[in-house]
Amino acid sequence: MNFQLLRNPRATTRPLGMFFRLTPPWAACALLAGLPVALSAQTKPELIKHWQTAKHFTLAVAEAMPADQYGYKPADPEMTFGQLMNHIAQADANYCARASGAQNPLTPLTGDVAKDAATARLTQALDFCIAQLTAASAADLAKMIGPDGKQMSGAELFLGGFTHMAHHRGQAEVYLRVKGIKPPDYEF
Amino acid sequence: MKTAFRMKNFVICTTLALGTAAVLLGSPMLEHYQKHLKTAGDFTVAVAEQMPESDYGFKLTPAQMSFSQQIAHIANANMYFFSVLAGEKPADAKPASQNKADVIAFLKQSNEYCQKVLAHVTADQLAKSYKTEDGEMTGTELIMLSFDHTTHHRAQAEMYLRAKGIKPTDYKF
Repeated sequence: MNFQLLRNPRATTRPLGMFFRLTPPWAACALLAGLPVALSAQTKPELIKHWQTAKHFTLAVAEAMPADQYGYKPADPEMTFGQLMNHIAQADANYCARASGAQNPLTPLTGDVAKDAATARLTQALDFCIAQLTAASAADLAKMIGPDGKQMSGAELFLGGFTHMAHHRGQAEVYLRVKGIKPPDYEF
Repeated sequence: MKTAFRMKNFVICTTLALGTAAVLLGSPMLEHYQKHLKTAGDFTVAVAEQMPESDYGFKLTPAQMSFSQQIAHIANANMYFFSVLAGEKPADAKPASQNKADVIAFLKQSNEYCQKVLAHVTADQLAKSYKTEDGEMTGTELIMLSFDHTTHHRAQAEMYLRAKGIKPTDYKF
């Protein structure tokens, strides 16, 4: 780059010649410099899109279980269906609060969880996650969070919550199967 | 003068290119994906190992896949997702049999393939859009789909373990 050109207006007497001679290397430089930016920018819209699908899918699984079966569990060491739904909501809110630094909107809930409470908490947690993800800057997503050795980036925490939700939703679908209910089709 | 400009360009461009290469090599998101793909692969192997050979055909209800089919399906789907990402012909592979040893060998083969693809993936491959059986998806989306789909079926397999009185190995990400 001709830095003098930027400082001295008189040096613009040959702007076109300067421009064309400098274009190929600078185009190459801009392209190379743009790649990692494109890479980090790429992750966010994709995370938002699939968090939205996951919200729809998870609420569909919650809806598929009748209210009077929310206390059901297939084996003793497991959570009831209602507790499982609440665990998804609570964990999502935790992951997203850690990732964003925002206040966790859910207060802990113990004991049995009824269908309307589970659905309300899932909706609240997932809306919170999608809102925090939408508001996150590239720097927020790249920032390393947590204690040394167990640090995760903001983007990684959003991916962690997303995957943890898939884990428990997958279990919940087996609860439905055991109750003779065909789970909603898989969505991503 | 001309030579001086070219020299400056060369020096600045080289510096930028090297700096960018360093950023690309250390691309945090790609490193995260590589780390979690390895964890996910090992986690699935651990779950597959927990079910005794005699219960590999077990399922809770007739409409479900058997335990062995769940594990083979995870392996096969991942091979498909990562072959699309690599631009390779999807391998229409399946385990030699539904026996525990063959299914686990197939799962390990899938894990190795996916990790190899992800080790060599470029920023361009991550950003690019691909035609898949599930519609148009970017490379990043294929990786996310792999995590989500694996987790979905592995969690079901864990419920089969529970039904057999086996405590599933702890959740890992």
